[in-house]
Amino acid sequence: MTKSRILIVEDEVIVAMHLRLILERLGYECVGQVTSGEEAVKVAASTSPDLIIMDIRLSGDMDGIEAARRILANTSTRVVYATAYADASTMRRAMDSTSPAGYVLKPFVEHALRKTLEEALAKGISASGQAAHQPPVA
Amino acid sequence: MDLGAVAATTFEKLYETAPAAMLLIDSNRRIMLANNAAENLFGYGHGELAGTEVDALLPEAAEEERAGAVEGSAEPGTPESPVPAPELWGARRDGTRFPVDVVFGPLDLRQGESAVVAVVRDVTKRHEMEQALRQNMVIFERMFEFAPDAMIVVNSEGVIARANAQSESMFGYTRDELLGAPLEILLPVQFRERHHQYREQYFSAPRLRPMGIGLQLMGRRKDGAEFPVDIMLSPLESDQESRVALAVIRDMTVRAKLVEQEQMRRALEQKETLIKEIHHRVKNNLQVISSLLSLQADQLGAWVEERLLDTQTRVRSIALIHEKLSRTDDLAQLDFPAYLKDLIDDLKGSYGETHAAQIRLEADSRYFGLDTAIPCGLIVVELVSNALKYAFPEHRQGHVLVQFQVMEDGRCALRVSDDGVGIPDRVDVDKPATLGLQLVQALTRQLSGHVVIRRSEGTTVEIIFSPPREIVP
Repeated sequence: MTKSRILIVEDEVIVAMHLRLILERLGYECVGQVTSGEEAVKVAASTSPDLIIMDIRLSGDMDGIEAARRILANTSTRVVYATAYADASTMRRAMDSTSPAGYVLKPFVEHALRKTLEEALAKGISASGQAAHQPPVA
Repeated sequence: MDLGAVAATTFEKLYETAPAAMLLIDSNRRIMLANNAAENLFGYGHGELAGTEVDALLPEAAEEERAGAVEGSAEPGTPESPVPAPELWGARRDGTRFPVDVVFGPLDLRQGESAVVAVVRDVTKRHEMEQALRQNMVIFERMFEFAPDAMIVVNSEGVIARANAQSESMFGYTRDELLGAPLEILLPVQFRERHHQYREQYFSAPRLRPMGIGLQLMGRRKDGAEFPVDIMLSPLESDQESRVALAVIRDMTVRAKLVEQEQMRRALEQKETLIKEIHHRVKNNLQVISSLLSLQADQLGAWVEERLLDTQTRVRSIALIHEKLSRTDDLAQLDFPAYLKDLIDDLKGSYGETHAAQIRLEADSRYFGLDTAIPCGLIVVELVSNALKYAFPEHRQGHVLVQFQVMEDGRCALRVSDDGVGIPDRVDVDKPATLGLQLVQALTRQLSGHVVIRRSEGTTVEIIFSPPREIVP
């Protein structure tokens, strides 16, 4: 069985290092680690990952939701949001415009991230992705 | 023909063709002669007027007629205004009437008889114009009087010459008090002196303009109350000697209140956005701390890793409070039972959902601020972690019960009990050696509470504390 290939989009490099450590422990392959939406779009196109862990607030002008929207329009992959920015309107925008395969709220615990990734990867890929969870909106 | 006869003939021609209606009336008020213009004006055929009484054309009743017209055209209750009153009314043959201007000239006829020449002019047009003018005046009078703004006419000496009804109610003075009074009585005392100068400047170059652009203008009521106003100044056409200006004054109290409310609403909105942003930043930073712990743990071996991951769970319990707070309306008070539920779900995950012990929560409803929620959350983390780690060795089955109780006297009890193997006797709970129990002791002190431990049928640790007064968002 081939390793699932995952792209990390995270502007806090320490958090990105942590995510990479978790992915390696879980036996996934990290195909890249970028800090902006613009880079994410570029790297997703060149590496075609199975899944993207996407922060919503990023450095640069493009946020994670917009980056995910652009990536999902052209590439078959899954997006899992990992964000501390979980207000109702942001989550609604994320759910409505990108139908993510899952999300974890920061600070995350490893087991929750692992579970979310496993569930997301177990799903078939569709260009629009699939919602693994209901959004945590009030 | 003698000269007299020529003159008479010429006169007769002139008289016949003159555009003005002319009547020659004898002393018995009978018409002796009427020219073409007169016959046309009154609607009679040629020669028909001779011998008719002049009263048929200019009825005596004209006086009464005029009185009637006054009553008919003047609306009840309007300010007195002279109503169109032509000198006289003419009556046509068909009975219709029209306003006329009549000039009478006495004539001495031969045989010593006297007669009167009447030159009659139809003044219907002028009459109609006067009528319209008066109507306009009434309309403008009413617009002035009943305008929703206070309207005050003031002369260059600053004396109030006219004031409308709204002026009375806005400033609380009667009309009599206003008329003849200095305009400055309507201003707050501290502005009166300066206003004199402004007024003099205005009258040296009067033009239509709003007053005090960019300033908050204030009016002053008779009772001393001050209120915000907007004022429009306009010069009124008048002779140069007696210059007057019209001030239109609008009470801005309601508007000012709305503006104030709007400003407060915006400030509140900004505050909320800011607090949400802070909660977000705190969570992000806690994620960085949590990640640092993981990265460090990865390099230090299993024993250290386990301890550092315990602290990661502690960090997470604090982050969860910010998460919960950022979703509340007031961003300061959180629903404590809901927080406990999420916290316990997290702990279940951390220790594996396959752990043999079941965790159950019983919690009364209560809202806490950060200062109470954080120590309580950390205490629950320590006690539940301890129970899961030590009370059920070798996959022993069992239960952990987390209870939060609000007692009648307002104190709260936070209780974690298990039916596991019990705390070993060597552990002195008052002077614990492990960080977990040390934290529980310290945090309880922070809550100004006390710890009670029961070691029968498993373990129960109870924290009793008096939280601050509840503020339900």
